[in-house]
Amino acid sequence: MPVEAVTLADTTTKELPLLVLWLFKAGLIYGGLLGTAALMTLAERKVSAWIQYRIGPNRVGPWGLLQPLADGVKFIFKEEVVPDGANPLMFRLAPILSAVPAMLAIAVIPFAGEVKIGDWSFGTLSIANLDISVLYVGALTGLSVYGVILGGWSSNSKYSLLGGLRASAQMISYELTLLLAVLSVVLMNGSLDLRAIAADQASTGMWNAIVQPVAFVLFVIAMFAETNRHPFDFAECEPELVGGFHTEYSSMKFALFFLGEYCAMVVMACLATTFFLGGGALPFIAELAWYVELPVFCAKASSFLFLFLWVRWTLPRFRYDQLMTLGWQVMLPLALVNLFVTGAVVALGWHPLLMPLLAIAVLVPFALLFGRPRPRSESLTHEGAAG
Amino acid sequence: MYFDYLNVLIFCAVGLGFVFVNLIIASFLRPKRKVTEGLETYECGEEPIGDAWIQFDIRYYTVALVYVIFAVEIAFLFPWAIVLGESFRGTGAAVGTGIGAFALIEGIVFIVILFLGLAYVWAKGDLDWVLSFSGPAYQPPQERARFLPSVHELQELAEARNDEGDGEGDEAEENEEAA
Amino acid sequence: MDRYLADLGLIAPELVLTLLSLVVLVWDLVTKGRDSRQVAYLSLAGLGVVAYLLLGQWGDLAATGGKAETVAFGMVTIDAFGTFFKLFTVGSLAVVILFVLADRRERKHGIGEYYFLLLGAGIGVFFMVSTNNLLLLMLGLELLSLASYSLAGFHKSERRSAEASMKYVIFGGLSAGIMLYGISLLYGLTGTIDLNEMGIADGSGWPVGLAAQFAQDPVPVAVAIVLILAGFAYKVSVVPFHFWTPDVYEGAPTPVTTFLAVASKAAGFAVLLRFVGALFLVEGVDSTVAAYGERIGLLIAILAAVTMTLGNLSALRQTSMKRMLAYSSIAHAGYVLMGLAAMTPAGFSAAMFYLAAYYFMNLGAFGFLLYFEGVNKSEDIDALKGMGWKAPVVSIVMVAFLVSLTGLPPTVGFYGKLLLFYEGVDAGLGWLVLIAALNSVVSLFYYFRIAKALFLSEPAEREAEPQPFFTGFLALLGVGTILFGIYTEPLQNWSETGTDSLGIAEASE
Repeated sequence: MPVEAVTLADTTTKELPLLVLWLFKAGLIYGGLLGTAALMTLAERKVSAWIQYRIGPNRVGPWGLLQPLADGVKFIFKEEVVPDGANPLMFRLAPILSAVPAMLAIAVIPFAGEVKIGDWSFGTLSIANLDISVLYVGALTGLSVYGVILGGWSSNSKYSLLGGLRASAQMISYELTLLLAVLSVVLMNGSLDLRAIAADQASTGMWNAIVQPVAFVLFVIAMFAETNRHPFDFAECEPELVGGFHTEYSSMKFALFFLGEYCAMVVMACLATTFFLGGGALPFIAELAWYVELPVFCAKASSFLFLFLWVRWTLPRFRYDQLMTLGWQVMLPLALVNLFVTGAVVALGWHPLLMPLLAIAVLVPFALLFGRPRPRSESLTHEGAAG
Repeated sequence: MYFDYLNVLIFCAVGLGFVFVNLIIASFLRPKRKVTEGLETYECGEEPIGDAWIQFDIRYYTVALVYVIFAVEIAFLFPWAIVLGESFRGTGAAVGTGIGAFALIEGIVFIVILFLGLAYVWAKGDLDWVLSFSGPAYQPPQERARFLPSVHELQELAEARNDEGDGEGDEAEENEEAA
Repeated sequence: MDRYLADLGLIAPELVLTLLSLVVLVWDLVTKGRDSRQVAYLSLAGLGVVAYLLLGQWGDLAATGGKAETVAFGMVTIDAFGTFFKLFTVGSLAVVILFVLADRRERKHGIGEYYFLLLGAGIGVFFMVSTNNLLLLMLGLELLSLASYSLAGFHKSERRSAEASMKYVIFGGLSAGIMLYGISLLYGLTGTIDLNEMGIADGSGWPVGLAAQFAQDPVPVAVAIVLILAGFAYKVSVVPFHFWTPDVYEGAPTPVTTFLAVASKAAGFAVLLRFVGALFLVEGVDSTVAAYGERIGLLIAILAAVTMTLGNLSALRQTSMKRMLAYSSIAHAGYVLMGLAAMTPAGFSAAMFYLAAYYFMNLGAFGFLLYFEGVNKSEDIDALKGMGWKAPVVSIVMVAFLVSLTGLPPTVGFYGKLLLFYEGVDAGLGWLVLIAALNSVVSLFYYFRIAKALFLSEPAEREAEPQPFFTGFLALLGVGTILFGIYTEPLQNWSETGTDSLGIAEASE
């Protein structure tokens, strides 16, 4: 338990004062998070360039590595506009509400076990070891919709309002699937604590990506929708809505929205790693030291982050009605059925590997039979759908 | 455990601090111009007409309502999942209460009833974003009434008169001509 | 596991009703609302099963003196009192469904959700009348309310109906909030949400629960109880929480009005009786709490006097029969409160008897209203002129209902009122009984305006299309009204068994 880890540790190990330790950890993890988010802005452009056979940013620093820094400086020096018609309070509040919850969720991610350097013990490599960290993450994910809807509404611009509305409807629709997928994992590993979930997977060697394939796929899809990323980026779908909910934003406030989005991506990647890939575990190796766990965790999370970029430059955007149909009529029922099956498997004490077999046996024929694009959608392609 | 919540609080404070420091630094450094045109609402160069605070599509409310129902369901299911797992695995507080099978059935009943709600909304078409109406098909607008009859109408009138005068005999000829 | 199954056996009627409502919903979805009559028949059959189960339960309970059994972790209390009201609720639900079937206007609108919502409201009633737990009580009340809101606005394209629903939602939401606030205060003061544990002394001689609070400071308790009573007062439309009643009753479809005026109101009274009984009158109650109960009794007596007077005086001026019946139902709420104000077991059983009588006569009166809405396309009393000669059976039966509503012999309403008056005098509320008697005289005027319009005018020009099924059905209710007025034993026995099961102490004068 966390308290014990700090206070009842081995007497030979030395500890830093608590406050110093906390601030140190907070600084470290914030630095990591914000650094990753900043690098993601660069990676986004670099990866897109590679996919499109271009070079990408390469002027600022070696290989363009200092580009994010230059962007940040540019944001700070930009003039800020608060439109006359906007609701001033909400307009200023929205970016903060968008950025802060996204950053806070990182606090409970267990990057690695207890850190020991020589005689010095630094506790586990996570800010807080809450035993209900899943609920904490769920609560903060739920908060993220406020920034978007408030930003869209308070701007008093038609584009912003539509973008905000679309985004909020989409986020709440997919949040259900996301939480239900997580619920299956919770049922499987029997804990609301992210550390325990990761540890359970590591000890049995059966990562949830294998024993909960349906939940894994649902989580990854919902993860894209929750962060408003392609192919679900209706909040800012440029050809229709200019910039969506942040059309009216500029300068640092605009930067905060972007910061929130990239932080949310990083958090989601970390969550997917913890829930489905066993955190910092490697297959067939039971106990790992923290300096192995941390790179493994980062590698797994990075692969998810790369997936975000890869998908963005590969898939076209959905239509809004397709998005709603997928969310409510495919993913939500599927998630509920998956919860059912998981509950039954746990109750009957069957081997968990039964679930992937079952999923393949049921879902593949089902998808082959019913998964063809319906003619109705084709006829609508050119008319477009109202949003 | 409570120390960890304090950790979160400190973390939250640091995060808020970061955000506000950025905003404040930017507010000192950025240029401030007093040009009123820039403060108009952006609408691709058009003059915006009216507020954007309008009545929007009611389906957003429907989605939000269904969401609330399911979100509450999920909130109830989290403790259920824990108790169920503990009871069947034989660890934790729920061992020996014999609540496992009962909890499983109760949970299934709960989910099925809510699933029926989803099925109801689904069947009533509230989940379909593109609505289809079973109204009359689109008819192109009728030709405008004219003061003077058009050439086409005059021809028809003449033919009708011919028909009346000549009886049945000419019809076959006319059909041939039309063909 | 066995324990849970045994518990489930005791709440079998509730479970069957819940299952029935779901089956009704699915059936309607599967048939795409094409044939709502099938759904209605299914609902009726299901209600028959529920009634059978309830009768079995009543037999078991009556054999053991109606003693309470608590199930589901103490949430649900199965006793004769609850079963009494459940039986009448099932009866009135069946009657309302028959009304819907008979109503031509409903036939057009008649889709399966109507029945689903009615059954849902029934589930709410079932749970709220059979619990001592304030939380479950609130849940049942809300389930009933939510179903009622949507039922009241069922003809959503009709302006009046939509307005009724809106008013109902706003008033209902407000009063539910007030009541919940009171409940939370009471919970904070006593540390329990179980009514049975609040007022009882634990035998140690030290005041606990409510008594301890009284000893310290009676004001918070008084505030809590008044807030909760306000919530109930809204549900049973007692002045000053009656404003919604005429508008909602008038705007809602008539079968729904019937449900609201009969089943919903009686359920509200059932909960009110249980609440007051369990808090102030139950066996072993602390003496300070009991003493405070007498003040609550006085408060209720004053409310009763105001309610019946205002209801009757307002009813005098109405031209619409539906609105008149709405005000009359407010007045009747005042009469029933009289039994509650007596604060004695006999007073409670008199109130129960009167509620049972109220089921018969009000169902009948609203059935008559529905019948003539179909014939006249109007709710005006004037439109009834001379129709008595065109639809004699229905009209004669209606006169019986009117006699009963006024409280004249030989009807069930008369005996009910007699019991209430007797218990009122017995409890020293002579002034209240006097007011009630005067009110009954006043009510004679407006009730007999209908009878006068029916029979003491020239025969009307219009013809009433004969509806033998509906007529026979109303006649059955009329026979019940008179039969139970002459042969009062069974109803009286049932209500006494019901009151006994509340465990109220005999009056210690």
